[in-house]
Amino acid sequence: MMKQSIKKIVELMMFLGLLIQCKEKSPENSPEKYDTKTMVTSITNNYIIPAYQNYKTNTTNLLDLINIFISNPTEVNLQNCQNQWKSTALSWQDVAMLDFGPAKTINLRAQTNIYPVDTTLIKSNILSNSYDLQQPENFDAKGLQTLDYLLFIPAMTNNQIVNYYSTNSNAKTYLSAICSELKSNAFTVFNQWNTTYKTSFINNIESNAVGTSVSDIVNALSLHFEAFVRKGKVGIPLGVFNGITQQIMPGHVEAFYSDYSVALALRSIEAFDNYIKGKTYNSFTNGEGLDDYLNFVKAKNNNQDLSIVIENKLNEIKTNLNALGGSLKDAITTNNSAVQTLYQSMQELVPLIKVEMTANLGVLIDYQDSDGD
Amino acid sequence: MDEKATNYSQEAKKDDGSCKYDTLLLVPTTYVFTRNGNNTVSFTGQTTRMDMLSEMTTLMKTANIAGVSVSQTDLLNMYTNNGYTWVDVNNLGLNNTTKQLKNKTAFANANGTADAGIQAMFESYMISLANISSITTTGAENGTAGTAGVWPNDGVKGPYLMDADGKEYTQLIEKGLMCVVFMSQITVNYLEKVKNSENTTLVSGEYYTEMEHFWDEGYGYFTEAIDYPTSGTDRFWGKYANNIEPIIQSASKISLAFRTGRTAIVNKDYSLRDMQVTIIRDELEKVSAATAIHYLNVAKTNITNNTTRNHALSEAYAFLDGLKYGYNAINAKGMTYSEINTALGYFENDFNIVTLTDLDNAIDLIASKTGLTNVKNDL
Repeated sequence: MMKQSIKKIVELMMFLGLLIQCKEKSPENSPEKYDTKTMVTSITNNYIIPAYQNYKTNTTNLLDLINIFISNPTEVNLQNCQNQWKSTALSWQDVAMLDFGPAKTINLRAQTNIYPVDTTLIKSNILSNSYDLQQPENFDAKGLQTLDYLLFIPAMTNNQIVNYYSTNSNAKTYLSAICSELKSNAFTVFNQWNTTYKTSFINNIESNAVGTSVSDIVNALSLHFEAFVRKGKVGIPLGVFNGITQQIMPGHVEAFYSDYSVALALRSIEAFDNYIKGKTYNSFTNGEGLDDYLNFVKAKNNNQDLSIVIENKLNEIKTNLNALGGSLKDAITTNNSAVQTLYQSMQELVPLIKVEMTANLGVLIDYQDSDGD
Repeated sequence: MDEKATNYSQEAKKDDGSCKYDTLLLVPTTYVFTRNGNNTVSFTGQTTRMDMLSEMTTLMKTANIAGVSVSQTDLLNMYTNNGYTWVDVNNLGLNNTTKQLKNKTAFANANGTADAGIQAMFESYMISLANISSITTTGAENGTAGTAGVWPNDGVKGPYLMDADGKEYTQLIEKGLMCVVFMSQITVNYLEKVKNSENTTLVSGEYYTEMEHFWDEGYGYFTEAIDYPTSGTDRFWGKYANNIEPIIQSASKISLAFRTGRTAIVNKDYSLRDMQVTIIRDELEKVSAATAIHYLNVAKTNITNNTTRNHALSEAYAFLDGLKYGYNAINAKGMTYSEINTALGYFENDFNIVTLTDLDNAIDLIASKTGLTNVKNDL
């Protein structure tokens, strides 16, 4: 009898001990135990390289069509350029969050997608026919957003745009030069990834410290969403960064001249979602991604899986984008509350990435989104 | 052995002469702080921007002479520091810096960004000034109620370039930027930034900590003089605080609060530091409000002198409107945003039709909301 009781007490204690152990995070599931090599390899081969390849192909197609338009300026050829510009700008969204390694080395983002563009500078460059596109002061007079301006010149019909280029050889030269440079930058980054950088990136997984591949992926993701999607695409034109007046600035939207902002923003959210899930580019195949890593370490937000909470928030953002009715600049003026709702949902995603994802994966934020003095 | 020593050890049997003490720094009489003999104070970026505004003001005032036109492009380029060649009297490198007034305009919070709505307001002032100056002709001081131009000396003050409503854009811009850049950066940005900054290690390559530097940058927007108010009373906040020193002693209070707060940072006494933050915010607000009241009193005395009255009202308007962009108004302390707008309403849109009752109403409201009722007639 006595023996039985002791045995039961011992069993009970062991059981309680198990319970206590289970409450703490099992060391087996600490971030270091995860097979980051498999994840980084999969992301590299299945997303990063094919996404850059697709972007590179799109810049090539655009340059080809622009050169056809220049040698034969017709409305049909212009429309081909305009349509291809949209495809190229969409494909840029897929790689915009990869600002590390080769992209960072050449400051690809600043060379590719600054807006609003400086139309005065663009015009004066065309007039002088003399410019060095590698000079940083020309960064807001080149790239995709300058092509947006040059292919969708405001207050001109397509017929008038055709006439403009037919009679202005400097403008033709500028249009082609901007696209050549866009293409050349895309090739530079793709080639570096596809040759030397790929291997070093895949092997830089000894820890998640600053400078490692996991840290680069997470930091670039967080910075991209916080500063360039939430703030750049929506917050600044909505005026929320005009802290006192909240003055709206619809002229500051991406793709202002083609009025293609909503489609680009939607694509950027979709790209974000696919990338986090570790999806193979342009396919349904879902490999190892940050969501699996978060699930492995049992990352939670209010008792829900953090990966699910992030996905739900991305879906909410997509719904809010679709509710804008196609034109962001018009919505800012005429349907402001819908844009406020969108911004609010984007704002709610920031801490999920910047605070919770980083804390769970043991990554330190290494950027500051403010200008110093 | 001494329990108060920082290297006190229970194991020590007696004082062996090795006791070390952290001696607290005393508040110095001038804004001079050193560490191991090295100067730890630096605010050249702030002096640079004050020099930019000084040059803008000098240029704008040339338009007070009929026939002198000021270029819109020059004013806009000065504001953004892009493409304008400065005289740079103090050799601070104004022509080789990316520092500018525009991107420091009207932050809503610490580490904030400039407000495009306020930037646009100031750019519209600059465009108006340039446009009016371009239509004046030499010798013709024909500005008057309903006619923009150079308004002649009325026996007290003048000539000044003003629009048909009597608005003098030079004042709206100079005094306005004092508020939306200098005061805003002090009260909204730097005095808040100090609260979340590093104060144990030195900034790489410098002799100061981050917190010390933020505090000094705040001071630099108030005055560049280390012995203020002995010096530094010639321009901007240093000047206007000193003008009313005999009445409300703001110059000496602000100077002492900056030195005390900086000393508290060295001593890591953060509650003392935060008390000085409150003093500086409240006193700067008082200087702005008191200066507005002063100019409203000038307008009352000169109610029939059109040029003097409108010049004074332009000054008062700028100092009063500028209060909106200080920490207190933004955070619903002191005189609130809507109270400031009510007071601005008494100015009428056309300064030429302002009545004595309007002016008294404005003075009474400002004084009651900023604690200046007892001295409103002395200002």
